[in-house]
Amino acid sequence: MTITAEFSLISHLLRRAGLGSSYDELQEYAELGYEAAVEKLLNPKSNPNFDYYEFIRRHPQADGPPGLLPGQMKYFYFLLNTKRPLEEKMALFWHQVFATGYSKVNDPESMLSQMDMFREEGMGNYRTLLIKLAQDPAMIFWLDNNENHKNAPNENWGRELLELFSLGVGNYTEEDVYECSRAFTGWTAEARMPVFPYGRHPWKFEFRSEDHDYSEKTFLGHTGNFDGEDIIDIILEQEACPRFIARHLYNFFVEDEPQVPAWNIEPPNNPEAVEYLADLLVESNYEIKPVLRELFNSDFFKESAYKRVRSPIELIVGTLRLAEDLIGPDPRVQEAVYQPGFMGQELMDPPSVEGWHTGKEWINSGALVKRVNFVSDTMSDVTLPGVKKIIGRVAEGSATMSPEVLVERCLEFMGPLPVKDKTRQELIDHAMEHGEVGWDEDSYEDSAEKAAVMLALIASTREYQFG
Amino acid sequence: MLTTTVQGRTWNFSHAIGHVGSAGETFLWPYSVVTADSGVMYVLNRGPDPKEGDGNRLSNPNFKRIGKWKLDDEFVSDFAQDDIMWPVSLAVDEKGFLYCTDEIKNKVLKYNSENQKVFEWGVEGSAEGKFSKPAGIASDLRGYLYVVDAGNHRIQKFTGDGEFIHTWGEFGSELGQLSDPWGIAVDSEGFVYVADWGNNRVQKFTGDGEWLQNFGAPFPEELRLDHPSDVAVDSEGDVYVADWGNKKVQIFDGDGEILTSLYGDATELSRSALNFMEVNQDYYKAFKRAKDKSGLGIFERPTSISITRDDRIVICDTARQRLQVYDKEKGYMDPEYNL
Repeated sequence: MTITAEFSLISHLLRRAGLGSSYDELQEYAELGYEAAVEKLLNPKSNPNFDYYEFIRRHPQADGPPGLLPGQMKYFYFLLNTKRPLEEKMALFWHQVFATGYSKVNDPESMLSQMDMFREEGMGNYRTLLIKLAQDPAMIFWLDNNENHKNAPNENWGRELLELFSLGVGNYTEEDVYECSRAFTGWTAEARMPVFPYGRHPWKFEFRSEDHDYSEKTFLGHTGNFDGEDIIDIILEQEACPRFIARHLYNFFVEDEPQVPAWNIEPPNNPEAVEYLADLLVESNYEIKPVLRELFNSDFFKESAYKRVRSPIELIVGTLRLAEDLIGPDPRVQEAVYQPGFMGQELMDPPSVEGWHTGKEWINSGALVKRVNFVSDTMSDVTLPGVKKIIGRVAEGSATMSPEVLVERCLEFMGPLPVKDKTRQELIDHAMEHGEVGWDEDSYEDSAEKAAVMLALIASTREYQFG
Repeated sequence: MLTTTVQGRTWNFSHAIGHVGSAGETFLWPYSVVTADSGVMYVLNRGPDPKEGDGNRLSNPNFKRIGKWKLDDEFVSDFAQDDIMWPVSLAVDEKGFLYCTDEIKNKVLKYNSENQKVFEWGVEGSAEGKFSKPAGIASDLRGYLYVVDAGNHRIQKFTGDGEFIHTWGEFGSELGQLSDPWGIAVDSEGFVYVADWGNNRVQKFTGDGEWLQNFGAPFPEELRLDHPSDVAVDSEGDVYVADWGNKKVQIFDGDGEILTSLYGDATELSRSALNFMEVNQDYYKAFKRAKDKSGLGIFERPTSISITRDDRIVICDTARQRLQVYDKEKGYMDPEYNL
């Protein structure tokens, strides 16, 4: 087949607005055309998701988990098997922005409930999302709002709400942090039965009226008897808020930005694009879906292919989906859950409330070795269904193949992945060591091994680390 | 005493057994239970999946095990740790041999009453005698074994030595067809009941596979089965279904009429749980602090049911890591005759 510009663009869309895809899935989306593919992604409820019952029948430990690992496994399974790629990607986006960590929460069930909430609300309204976040038991415990009392306010949640979840540094005062925190007093989680003796029982949000500070507050220039929802409404009126969220969207979906703590001193890479997305947020009354629609159909998005360093989750899940490995119930899933952590992105356990540092910071000597080893090991395995299919497509219609054609065709089916001339020449040089590749019955198996080595080499290139 | 009474029958909650843990008198995802006439009970712990550093990467011996118990809450010993990967179900035959299916190994493993593996059979495939994800297993009074071959959507009948006898079933939702079936039971008359998991029903067959009856109608919705995982029959012919998706146990009479549902009644800590709490006071304090304990007793994914000859009903409350035991009062009288 001929790879068209639109096909390449939809491949880019599925990497960014999803978690990568098998080649079959890519073709399904390509048949829709770009704009219809975007709409399909934006309307996840129209696609039945994977069979959840089949998953917990074969992985019962994901059904009421007493430890972190089964919880991570459950999340990893969603990432690998989702039929609603953008819903899952948005959950990951909010997990990064509203970073909550198991290391303190110590309750995978609450963490998973938070992820469910991100799936449900991730493309909905940002105001609703903030309110649900403020009432989310994992977040309440993570940022100590259960310790935020009328007579002894704790500022942790109030500070991060302003600094990392809505406005960014420089757009509020210390007094605003204090007043904001007072408005959320009494927003807590009820005591629940502990993990022993029968496994966890879910936390629930609880508003304790007797512990809420009903007195007057002055917040960002407004004065009144504010509670948490009033505070969120005032936040949404601030010019900084849509810009802050727009920059997060740009950073996650379009191009690596500096790390979040530097945003008050480092301007955006593309101020016009961020401003455009911010205006859309205001126009849509903070509905996220219309903003995503415009983002994915924008020129700046379409021109951004391979400009972001793939996060470990994007790299691992994208490669496994391409190779069609660990799809569906499989005892090896639990072990694979370790891989993102080895590369610096422990599932459900970001290093701090600031989330993971992204972009170039994903790459260090240790992580790079892990990344390259993982993707090359996966793509060199000719027994994996996705690898088999790619090799079948590479071989299609040719009795023999020159090294140059082998390289080109492998690059097509690995993305299509554009590579620098130097990289291409190195790949060709390697392929030339084996000369022409034959695809007749006698030589197919041997040629398939050579093609798999080429796929592994391509996965090992610098270019494949970007998405 | 917590009782459920309907149509002249009475079920009394007896006690809970075990709590979460990876050894001894604790459970990690108890997945199947089977009672033997000797008063012995076997409980299969599915355990979590393996993780790096376990040594044996696909079967952590600490987690995947068959526990031998006395029904009155006495733990005897563990075995099978090295044999099983994704174990699903247990059966005991008339001679006291224990059988265990493994859906990853595609095997049936046979143990003697000394807990020694004496035989195993099965390879992956769809030909007669081969398996794809074997699940439920049950023995009849003549010693024949019925194995649910879930991935092939069929039932296979064997001798106790693994000799293939007969098979029936195919994928589909028509009468007699199956969709990823799971549990199975044989009553005292030799009739076979299959938890047709994917079709939200239980089907009753003769021992030769002739379809007889369905349990679980699609309407009314509140009584509809949701992915039943197991089935058992008491001495009076009442049929108990582990309504896995709905997290309850539904009880039907032999004609398929719904009698009642059990939702779990373990509102007190089990003996082992109480022992654990008494030596782990921090957990005990946290437990006592919890205001809302309404969820303590209810089932959280009942998966397997076994019934003794004297109608003691044992239910694997899988996600709560315990067993719940009920006693059915014998000799009920139908209401119309109880005037």
